[in-house]
Amino acid sequence: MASLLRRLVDWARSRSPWMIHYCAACGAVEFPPLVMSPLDWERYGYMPVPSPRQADFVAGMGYLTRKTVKLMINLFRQTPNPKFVVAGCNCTATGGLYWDSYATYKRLDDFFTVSGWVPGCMPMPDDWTALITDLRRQIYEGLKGDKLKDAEEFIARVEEGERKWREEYFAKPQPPVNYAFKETYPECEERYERVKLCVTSVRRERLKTALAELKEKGFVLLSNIDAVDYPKNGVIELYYFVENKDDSSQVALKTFVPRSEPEIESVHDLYPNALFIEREVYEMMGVVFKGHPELRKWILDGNWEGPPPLRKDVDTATYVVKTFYGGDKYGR
Amino acid sequence: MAGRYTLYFGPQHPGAPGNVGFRLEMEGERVVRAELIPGFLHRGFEKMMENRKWENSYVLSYRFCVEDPDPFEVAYAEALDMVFKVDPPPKAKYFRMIQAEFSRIASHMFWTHFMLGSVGLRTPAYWALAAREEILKWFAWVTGHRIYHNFSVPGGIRSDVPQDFQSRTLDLTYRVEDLVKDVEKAVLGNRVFKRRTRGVGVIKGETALRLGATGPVVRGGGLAYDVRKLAPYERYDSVNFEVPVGEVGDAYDRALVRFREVHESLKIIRQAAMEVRPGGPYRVKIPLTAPPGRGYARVESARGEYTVHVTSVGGRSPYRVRFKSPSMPLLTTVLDYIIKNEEVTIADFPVVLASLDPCAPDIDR
Amino acid sequence: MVLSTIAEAVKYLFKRPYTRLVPAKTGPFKTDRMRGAHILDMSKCTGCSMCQQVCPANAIDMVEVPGQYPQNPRRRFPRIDLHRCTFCALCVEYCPFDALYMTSVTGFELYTRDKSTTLKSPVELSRGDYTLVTVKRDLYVTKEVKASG
Repeated sequence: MASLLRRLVDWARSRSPWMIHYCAACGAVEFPPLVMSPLDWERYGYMPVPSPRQADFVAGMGYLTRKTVKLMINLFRQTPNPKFVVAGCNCTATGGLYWDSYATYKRLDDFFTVSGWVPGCMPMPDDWTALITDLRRQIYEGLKGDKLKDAEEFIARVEEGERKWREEYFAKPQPPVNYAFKETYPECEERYERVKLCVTSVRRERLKTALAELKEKGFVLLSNIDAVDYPKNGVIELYYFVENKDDSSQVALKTFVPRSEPEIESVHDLYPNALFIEREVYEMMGVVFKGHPELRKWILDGNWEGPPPLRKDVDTATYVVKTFYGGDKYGR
Repeated sequence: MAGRYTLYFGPQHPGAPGNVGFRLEMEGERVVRAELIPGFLHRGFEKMMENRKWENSYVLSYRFCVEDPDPFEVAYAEALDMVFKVDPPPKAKYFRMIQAEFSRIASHMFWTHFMLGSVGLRTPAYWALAAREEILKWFAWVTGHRIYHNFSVPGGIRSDVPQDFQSRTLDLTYRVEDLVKDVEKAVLGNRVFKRRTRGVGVIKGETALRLGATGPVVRGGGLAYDVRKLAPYERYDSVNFEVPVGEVGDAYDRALVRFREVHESLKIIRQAAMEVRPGGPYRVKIPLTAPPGRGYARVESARGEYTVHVTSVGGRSPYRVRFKSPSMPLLTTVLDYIIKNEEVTIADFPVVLASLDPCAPDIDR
Repeated sequence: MVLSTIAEAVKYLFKRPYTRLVPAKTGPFKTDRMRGAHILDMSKCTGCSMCQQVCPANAIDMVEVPGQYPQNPRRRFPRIDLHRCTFCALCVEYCPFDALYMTSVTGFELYTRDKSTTLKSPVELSRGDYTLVTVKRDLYVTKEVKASG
């Protein structure tokens, strides 16, 4: 009798597996076609639910950035038993195309036991149905669900290693400046007619005055700030792309900072969105913007503890292969 | 209940625009400050590009924004065309336009579904997704994949188009137009939708531009600012289309602009499809090593201007690739401006977010 | 008015449903150019490792296979990790001997509970179903013109 009841419960449960509504990565873009037209999940009782406390399974949809993994562990803890973890896409399984990315963990099964894998980059809605159908079968068979592995220790170990690397990196002496630079502003030194771009150079002391002048002339939009690292020359080149509101012509102001003292004045009072672009350049390149009110880690916060990853002498690919693939870059 | 308190919104929240979070400072019902918490989707593309070679780095180039991948693909292909100093055959240029415009429509339809979710009007969202599905099927038929098409490569397009390309493409534009018209009628004429969006999230075009935003947010505010017109790339100079603009710059105007843009995109596709016939050259093979130099491309994606800056010092890999994120100003400066200048309640917050149409992965990259 | 939305919705009551039947009944969605799992023609592959070089995801490793292959004296063949591959078909495009194909087999067929099964050895790759081949090299490399400048 009890076993019959047990089977009835399993049957009922298998008819309505609910997924946590969490668009973890790019794979989530194939869910609207699956949930709504044309595949209409809900006719089978599958549903995305906002709260983990009502959910039955967590789906890994693509690359696992470190911040996302911490969040997924948290979500998984809140989900009632029995709970399942399924993995779609290739990045959840082996790191996929982002095998050399410093900000992602490579395998979902480092953190959870996983009930089903569907390969693809990205899997189509039909491919996801194969996974959900099998999950349903597994629930019906009365499996106990998936478990969390001791993930915190692994995460802490990786982050500790990176912090040490960061200290070592900044303790190293910087190469001397060996760089030819000629100020050409306001004349263009390179001109690209088709994209309406004019590249001109200015010393870093005069950068802000030059930008103020350009803003007066109608270049009100700060499009982007690019930083290019040249360790051999001992400098980091900075490009400020500003755009004219009338004819959308662009000027790229080129300047440089020495790597031994990568400091430049912030331009956020001229261009409000510089606040965030500068913050990004700071964390990725290690360029310090003087006068910036809140210069801190932002995108990399929780993702990367090591030295500024976009510096040319920071070899993240080798580090990642060593740490996550055990030295074999074709491995899993 | 008055008093200030902090509320975390997202990343695991149906109203959050993808995998980003916000730290909201609240005063009773009202949001007084919203701070973006990005980084949940950061993969470090700019570093990964440096580890790839010229011939395979473009596989990464379109993965910043899953909702609207093709302008990104086209932009990177264009930037590499400039580095290698090649001129793709005209057929390839027209095809890239079709690809980018279809992607824009698909993105706007995806946005419709997202926007309607946040105002609670779910029925037309199904039709919008059907229109998107038709486009994805077309992509799978021509390029071999639904989302990541991998088709605009440096030097042209990757393969020839199928035999009945023109007729099927034109047929698709009419089918999509029918669906979009239905969605438009059901959404823009709906009183509930009007009430939820009129006067919400007002920002003028010029202000938005000064804050770093481009795209429908600027055009909804009455400024006809479009890179396709102002600095035409591919063959946008040879097709007829208009740049739709709004008046007030509220969420409703942005919706209006997006729907009108879909019709303009269909117009562009119909003109460009006339120039793409099977047969004839479609690709210039690029060499394995690049000359030193600079590549720069500007395209209009569904969320605004997108730029790529490629630095080459010769050799087999890019030295540095830098992308502009069109969504980053939307969720930082523009959102700040809106919250400071009007009373945004927590119920309206998802509407404001959705009307800006940010693409979360493209903020983090 | 809200009625306009309802009127449109009523119109859709009389249209054919857009919702598809389950893939298990109608078959999953595929097209003629679908980029899916690979097939390796072991009688053509010379082990030049071009596919390994060009793969952006490092999904291809060259491994040694026992047996006699006259065109491939070192007996090195690509082993493809389908759980790492990004299905960009660059390996098919760059293969100089036309030995790799792609089929319309995607995640629907490749779904597994044990992820070690998706690491395909050369012998497993060569056992694919040739009737499902969708992408061949000639799709990508016909009618190229040389760079002028």
